[in-house]
Amino acid sequence: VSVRSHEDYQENLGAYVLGALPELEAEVLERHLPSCESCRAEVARLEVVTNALARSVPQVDPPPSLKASLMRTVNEEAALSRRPNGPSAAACAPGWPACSRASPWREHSPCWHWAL
Amino acid sequence: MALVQRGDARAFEAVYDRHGAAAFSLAYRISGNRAAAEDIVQEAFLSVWRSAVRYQPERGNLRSWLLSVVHNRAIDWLRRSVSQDRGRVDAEGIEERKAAPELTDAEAFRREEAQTVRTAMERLPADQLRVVELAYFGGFTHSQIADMLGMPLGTVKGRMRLALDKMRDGLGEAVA
Repeated sequence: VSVRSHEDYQENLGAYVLGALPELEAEVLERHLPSCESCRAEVARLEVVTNALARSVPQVDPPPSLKASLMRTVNEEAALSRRPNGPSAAACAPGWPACSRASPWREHSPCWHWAL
Repeated sequence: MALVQRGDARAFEAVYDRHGAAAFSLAYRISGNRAAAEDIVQEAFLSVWRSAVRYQPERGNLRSWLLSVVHNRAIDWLRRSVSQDRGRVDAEGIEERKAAPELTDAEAFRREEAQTVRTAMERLPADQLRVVELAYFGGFTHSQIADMLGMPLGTVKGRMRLALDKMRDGLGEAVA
């Protein structure tokens, strides 16, 4: 990794943790992270802020029908003892269950972090 | 969560009871649409249920993990929407939950934590707060934000980074 490209990665870390990197750029950064301890540490540091942002919003009660619908599906699946993993979950670091989406980078973004 | 990993639906229900409101609040804040927020939360929790075996508690906080899943789903929803302005919520449009007469310790802590975060946000310069909100709650990419605000991409990246650094310092250990 050249100094220049490392600086490019560093420049993108803020946008990355905010989810504001376009998909391809995020993927490029995610390929860099496993080999760069300083970028990983910086992402971990900045993710404290995005975690906090998620908790800062005004609290609104969900409708009871949401839980009813969710638990109906969950109870059916529990009864069938089916616990399917998503198609790409196996390729994902453990700890982040939702890495199995069609558009993987956003939910992949923290995967490396949890794999440390 | 260990019980959820073993397929215990009642344990999963307890997880929802504890974190569902925070998840819905975040989804609603981003989507500005109750029906969409319900779909987002349902999708997110089902994905957690179906792959809970991969969750390793020693590697992180369950609430942060769940909310990151919800955030990602909500941003995807925004980007799938024809117009990103559709249904955008604004502060006065949100009916915040009334404070319960007797808060549990956990609820009181969360309210205090949320207030700490909001205070840190309010201390940001307006131009930095704007880019953070457009990115995190608006689902816009850095280049979209640059176009929108008529500024170079490097400036947007720099403001994002400055804002995050300032907030990180402002939050201190309160939410670490």
